[in-house]
Parts: sequence; structure tokens; C-alpha cells
Amino acid sequence: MEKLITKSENGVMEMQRDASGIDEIEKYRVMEEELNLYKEKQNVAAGKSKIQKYNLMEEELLRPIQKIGRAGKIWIAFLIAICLCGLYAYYLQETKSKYETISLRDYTMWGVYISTFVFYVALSLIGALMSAILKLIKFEWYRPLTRIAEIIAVASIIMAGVCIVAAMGRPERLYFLFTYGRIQSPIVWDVIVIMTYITASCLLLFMPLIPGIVICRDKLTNKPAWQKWMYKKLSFGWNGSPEQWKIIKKSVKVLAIMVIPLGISIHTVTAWLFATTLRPEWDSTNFGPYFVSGAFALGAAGMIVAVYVFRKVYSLEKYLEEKHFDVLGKMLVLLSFCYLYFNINEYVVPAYKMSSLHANHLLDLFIGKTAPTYWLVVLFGIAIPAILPMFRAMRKPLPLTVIAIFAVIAAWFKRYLIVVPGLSHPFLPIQDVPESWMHYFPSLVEMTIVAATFAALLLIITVFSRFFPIISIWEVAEGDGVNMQKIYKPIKPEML
Amino acid sequence: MKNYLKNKMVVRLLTVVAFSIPMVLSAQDGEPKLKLKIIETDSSKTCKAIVMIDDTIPVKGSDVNFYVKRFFGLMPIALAESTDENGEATVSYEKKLPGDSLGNIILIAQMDDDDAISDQVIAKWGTKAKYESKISQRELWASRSNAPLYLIIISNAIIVGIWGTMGYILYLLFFKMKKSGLDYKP
Repeated sequence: MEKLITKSENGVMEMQRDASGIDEIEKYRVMEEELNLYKEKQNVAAGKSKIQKYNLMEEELLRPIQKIGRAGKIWIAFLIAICLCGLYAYYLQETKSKYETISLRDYTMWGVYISTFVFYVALSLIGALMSAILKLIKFEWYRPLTRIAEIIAVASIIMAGVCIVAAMGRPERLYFLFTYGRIQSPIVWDVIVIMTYITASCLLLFMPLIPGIVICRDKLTNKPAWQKWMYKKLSFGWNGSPEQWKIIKKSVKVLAIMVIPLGISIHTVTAWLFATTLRPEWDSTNFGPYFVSGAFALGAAGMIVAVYVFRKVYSLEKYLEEKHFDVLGKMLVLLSFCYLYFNINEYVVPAYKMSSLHANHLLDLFIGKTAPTYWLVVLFGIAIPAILPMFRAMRKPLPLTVIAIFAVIAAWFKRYLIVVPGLSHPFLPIQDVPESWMHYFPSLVEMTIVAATFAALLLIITVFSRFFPIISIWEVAEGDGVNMQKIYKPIKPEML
Repeated sequence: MKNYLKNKMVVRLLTVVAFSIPMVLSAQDGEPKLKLKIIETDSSKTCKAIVMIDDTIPVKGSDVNFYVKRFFGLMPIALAESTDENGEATVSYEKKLPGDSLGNIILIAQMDDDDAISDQVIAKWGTKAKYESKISQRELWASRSNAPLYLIIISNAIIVGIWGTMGYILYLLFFKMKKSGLDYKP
């Protein structure tokens, strides 16, 4: 048979007749119809498989909410016990003489509370990094990670606020910050930006969660009445209307854009709390970006640890894949190198001049009594996370998580090294001060309260993941090409 | 009996003598006191410090320092001026220093050996200074009510912008969302 369609030299399709005299155009039409029919069948099959896949995903991601195992209950009880110890320690701190219960003195007036506060503020930047930046630049692999990042951000920024209250003492005077606070003071800026970031992060967590809550409302029918009532109330009358989808997507986009400058602001303002204080060790114009870059590096490390734990504990290997560790590992390398750059600016440049103002502090860090901690922090907090994940084998889940765990611990000690040694070398030396002013080691009360904030952070994340899907089902489904508006079956308005 | 009375008399005598010795000594070495006087004529201004014991015995050869009080500490105008046989040390004041808003300055005279022995006098010898309170104006270091306008405007604009956006999202959530769900008929 002759060719049905030929292409002329100038690219125009030409139809020809074959020997039987049947119009070639007719033949072509028949073939085209057959092809369309085949495609349609394929699409239906693919659609079915997508729906099946979606149903399976829904089932798997709701499993951690269905039932809490024995280990899960013990874990929650353990965290609550630590929180209660922290509450008792706080009661002791506020009712007994602070000179006896805590080690803070005139020189080191910021100890582990403020170190931990800075750590939490840094960790909270994870929300802006994973949930907002990756979302806006349309990195598709962000989808299963976004909610984990958002809940860590919310929990850590709440705990940052708790640390500030613990550090201030006299919580009944907290409202003085609003009644007597001066807008000229960085402390007031910090209070404002923390409150704003908490609200924005909660909204950024909650808005895309609504379709997930609706899935819980409709699918988790075996739950107690109060839990069903909670799902119903929190779903805000969701019925899958196009306008509701529009509201969700629009809000998430606006919040994602807003949370990036907010996240950077909160950490920059925290850095300014130090940089605007008259201490030579903190007298640095580099402090803002230095803190922000450290926060991004900590955020990446924290994310790796959290993803690993959720993947193992809730058996989410299908969604939190090895490719996620691969990209998170690469991200950790990049952010650690950025952090290294700012560390060089922060330490090496003043060390080159070694002015008398900075010499005490720098020599203490480099070769003095805090040198072991300092160099371990450099090793585990910057060098190893910057170098080891460059190798593919180190970007596998387990080795990368081990690297990240050390990076997170080093990040806490890094904040401790920024806060405490700086205060132990006051700007104006005072003679004949009590011995306890010149050395600082946190008291048992302080350590218990800090441990309780860590427990509370983990408790918030654990409890959240036991009530709501820790992976955003609709976002992952959309990434797989599922049309969520078609999947969701509206319910009767009176049921809303 | 005679011996007893004699002994008693001796004891009394010795007691009186014993008590009178320090009284006599203290009368001789009484605490000197310093008085500062200012003398102003048409052509000169003079500070005169008079050092006396019990306001009657002049102390000769004591060194007296003269100062003007500053915000913090003292500014010397003449140091170690010795008193004469009348217990007087005199220095002329030739400086032109800023005083308070009325032109007052505080002149102080102190004994060089013991600065607790001193006296001070307010004199209208300073120039009238116009002081502007740094915290009564709109400055970064001023009180809450005197924050710089640019700071108030910028910070409030940012706060209103961000909280306004979040308020709008909350409005969508609380009002539009439910209404849209109720009205939806697929």
C-alpha cells in the first residue's frame, strides 16, 4: 500500500489515493478515531489507577491517626512527665530566691534560656525554608515535607516564647512589655515579630490542613465524639467547592510569600538583640546574616532528623523517599557552606586584627577553656555537614540522619557559645565582683526547664501527628496529577 | 580611818585629773572646721576659705583645694592653697564656666588632708546655660511617648500591612469558607 500521508518538500501534508480507490482521507480518519479510542481507554485506566493510588495513600497516611500503639503512648507519657518536671522547676524558680535556684548573675544574665530561645527561633525558620521557599520556586519534592516543616516551625516558635518568659522571670509582669515597651527597643521588635510569626506560621499550617481535616472528618468514623466534633469545627464548612479551593490556594500563596521576610526578620531581630547590646563580642554588623544562615543550616538538619523519624515510626517510606534525603543532603551542604562563609566573617576577620576588645573572647574560644566546645561545634556543626553529604553514600537516610543529629546538637551549643562566653567578658571590668558572677554553669532548675521545653516541642509535634495527617494528602495527590476537586465528594450542607 | 579618808581623797583627785586630761587635750586639738566665703567686687571675684578650730583658733599652714562642681565629679580651680596666720586661704576666680539656667555654679572648698572637711557655696558666677533635655524630644533614646516619628510610621505601616493581610485571611476562613460550602451545589 502506498503511503497514506506524505510530506512535501515544503512540509505540507498531502493525501494520496491507493490502488483500491478508497479515499486516503477516510482511512486516516478511521485511524485517528481508533487512536483516540485507545488513548481514552488508557486515560480511564490511568485515572482509575490514580484514584486507587490516592485511596491507598489516604489509608496509609491516616493509619498513624487510627490507633496509637503502646510505644506511642509510652513516648507521650514520657514527654508529659518531663514537661511536668519542668513546670515544677519553674514553680521553684518563681517562688524561691532566684539567687539559689538559677545560676544567672549580673554578668551572665542570659544563660541557657536565651541560648535555647535563639536555637528555637533558628529552628522555626524551617517553615519559611521548606514550606514557603520550596513551594514558591515550585520544587515538586517539597510536597510530602511541607507539613512536617510547618509543625516544627509552629512548635519551636511557641517554645521560643516560653524560653523568653522563663528567662525574664516574674511572668505576671509580662504585660508590662506592652504597657511600657518602647518601639525604639529591639526587645519590643522581637516580641512583635515573634507574635506575628507565630500567627503567620499557624495560619500557614492550618489553611492547607483543612482538606486533610475534612478527610479525617469523613473517613475516621471510629473516633470519639469529641474528636469528630473537633474535625467538624475545624473543617470550617468545607465542601470542596471551587471557591473554597480557591480560598485555600490563594491564602497559602499569600502566606508563603509573607512568611519568608517574616522568618528572616525574626532571626535578624534576634541577632540585633545581641548586636545592639554594648558587648564587644556581639558588636558585629555581620550578626543578622550570620544568624539567618545558621538558622537555615539548622533548619535543613532538623528537617532531615524529623523526616527520618516520621518515615521510620509511621512507616512512610513510600512518601518520604530516599530522593528526599538526597536533596535534603545537598541542601545541607549548600547551607553549611553559606554558614561557614559567615562564620569566617564573624571570627576570622576580628581574629586577624585581634584588637584588645575582642582578644579575650576570641582567645578563650580558640585556645582557652571553651576551645574544646568551640572546635567540636565547628567540626560537627559546620565542617562535617558541609563536606560529608557531598558524597552520595552519605546522603542515604541513615548516615545523613546521623550527620544531621550531630549538626542539631552542635547548633544548640553554638548558640550557647554565642550567648554565654560573650557575657563572661564584660565590656567594663568591675573589680571585686563575687566569684559566681564570672563563671556560669546552668543550675538543675534551668536545665530541667530547658529539657521541658524540648519535651514540649516534641509533644506538640507528636500529638499533632496523632490527630492530623503529617503528610499533606491533597498536595501530594496534586503532585501525582490527581484532580482533587473531582475526587472530593461533597456532603449535604446540613451535615457541615 | 585617817588613812582611808586620805586614800579616798587621792583616788578622787586622780580620777578628776584622769578625766580632765583628754578634755584639755581635745580642747587643744579640736576638729578644724572650714568655711567658704565668696567676695565679689566690680573688678574681682574671690573665694576665701577660713579654717578654724571651735570658730576661734585659726589653723595656719593647712592646704585647701578649691573646686567647681561638675555633672560628675569636681573641677579644680586652685589646689593646695595654704592658710595664713588667720586660717585664711584666698584664690581669685577668673574662669568663665557655664552654670545652670540661672547662671549658678557650686563652689567647693575642701581640706587637702581630709576632704570630709569642706564647705560649698552657690554663686551666680556662671554663664546662663540653656539646657535641652535629650529625652524630651523625639529621639531613639527618648521615652515611649517620644519615639521618633519615622520609626512609629514605618513600624506601624509594617505591622498594619502584615496583620491586615492575616486578618483578611482569617476573614476568608471564618466568613467566606463556610458560606461557600453551604451554598455549593455540585
